[in-house]
Amino acid sequence: MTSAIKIENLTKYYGKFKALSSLNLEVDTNTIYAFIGPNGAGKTTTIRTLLGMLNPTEGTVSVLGQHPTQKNTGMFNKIGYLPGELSMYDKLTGNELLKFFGNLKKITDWKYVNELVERLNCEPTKKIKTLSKGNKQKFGLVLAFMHKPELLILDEPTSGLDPFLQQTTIELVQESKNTGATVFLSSHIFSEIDKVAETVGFIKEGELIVEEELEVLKSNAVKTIEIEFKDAPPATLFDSMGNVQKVEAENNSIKLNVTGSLDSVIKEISNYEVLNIISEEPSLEDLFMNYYESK
Amino acid sequence: MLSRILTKAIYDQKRSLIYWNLGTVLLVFLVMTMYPAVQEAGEGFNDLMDALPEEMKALFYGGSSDVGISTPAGWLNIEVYGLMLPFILIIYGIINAVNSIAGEESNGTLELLVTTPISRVQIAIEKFLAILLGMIVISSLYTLTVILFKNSFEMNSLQSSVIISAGFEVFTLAIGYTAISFAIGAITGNKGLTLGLSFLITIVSYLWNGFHKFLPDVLESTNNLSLFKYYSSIDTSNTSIDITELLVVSGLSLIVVSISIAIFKNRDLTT
Repeated sequence: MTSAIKIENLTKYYGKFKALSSLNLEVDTNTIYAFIGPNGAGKTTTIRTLLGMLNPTEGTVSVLGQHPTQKNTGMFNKIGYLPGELSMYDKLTGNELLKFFGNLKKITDWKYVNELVERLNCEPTKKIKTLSKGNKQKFGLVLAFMHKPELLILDEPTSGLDPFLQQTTIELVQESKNTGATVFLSSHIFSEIDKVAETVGFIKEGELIVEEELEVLKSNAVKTIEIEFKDAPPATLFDSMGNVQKVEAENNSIKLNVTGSLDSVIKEISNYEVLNIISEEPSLEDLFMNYYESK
Repeated sequence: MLSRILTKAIYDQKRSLIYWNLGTVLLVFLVMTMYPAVQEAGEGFNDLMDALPEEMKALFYGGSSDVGISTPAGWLNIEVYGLMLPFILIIYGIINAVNSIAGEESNGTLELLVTTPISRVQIAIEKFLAILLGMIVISSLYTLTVILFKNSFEMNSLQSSVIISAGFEVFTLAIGYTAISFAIGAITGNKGLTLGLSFLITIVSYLWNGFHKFLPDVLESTNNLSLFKYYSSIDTSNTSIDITELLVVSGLSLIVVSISIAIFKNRDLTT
């Protein structure tokens, strides 16, 4: 599988402040990659370097097989970008804004643009300055998707949107992926990342602390299960299992933290009469917080 | 209309350009209407102006030898061409230069623009051209106003070629300061800094040119650095456009703008 984005040893200084430190990151073509980190971790610096707005202090960046420099501006026709802090021309109407950027991007399929406008429930006849944050965000999304890019770089795409439009945005991301696009997504909303992301990268203080497929990350994570037995099991029941930690035992119920596969636990309890098992899937937020606090 | 950066930049100037043109034309026209009365008062006004020190005359008359206030050229110089028109055009140029790159960068709108297939060089060139076009329109309209109404207000002796030449002088001067402002914006990307520095440079170089003779001998020739030194307003001895001056100032402006665009092309954006 080829890479849509490849970052090697990227370091970025702002004066004496080190914003990124030897960052290595690779996004496979036709995948959805979620880039997660708190404010100030280096997400926006990474994104702006990918788009050629910032020059690396050290290291290299390759996007769709090219370096994002002014020699390769043609590559931007293959990239759809939604900034985290969206600023648009306030004096233009939505229609004028789309026309302007559509012309710069040499759009030919205006039917698709109109379809996006309808799906996102935009108000194209109003001036941008009269729109709310959420309504401006809709136009930002149309600008990112309008030219059917090969690579979408979306920084907080659902910011300010109502739940219905958040769902529409997730659908658009998924549809783009289905038609062959790669999506690089930065968001604070873990539930939406959980729905679409295939790979996640956690960034902390300019360094990538984890990069893994979401499913693998979840399967290797600590899961909490609560087992209710008909009769109280022996107190030493799980003591010999290395991947199990007893959290609490009350009456006939035991709460466990299990790392990795549940197979050994299931086999062990099969010798007893079990009334109920409640398993809590770790949320992406839990995973993030665990990694973030442990590093 | 909004098919490219140039047309969008002109579209952005549309409303302000109308007001600047209306204001400038109205100012020039009103000054012209007063001339018959000034001419009648004649010598009294001339004596008043003659009493001023040479340096002050240079500030008011814009370097022209036509300093008699009761002559058409002298009257237009002291009222509009000496100070008002150059500053009107320079301010128009600076405001638009500040808003072009530095303004868009400070507002954050440049972020979406530079992630289209249009290069930063093309963005900068088209934005600068749009400012020049606006300045050409303003210069042309007030020049046309003087030519059209000069005979109505007893300024028949003023040749049209002299007025056109003065129009070019103002335009050339304004190009220089607009280019400096545009360059500061392209290099720094900071709107406030660009605005402040642009006006500081313009005002200091204007005053420096007027008062350099009061400075120690060592510093006296420093007024060569002021573009105002090369500016002459309506001068009846100038019946043709000073092509050399136009080319020198335009050439220097082009160099300043080109260097700044080369820096803008490769620098980190500040948004």
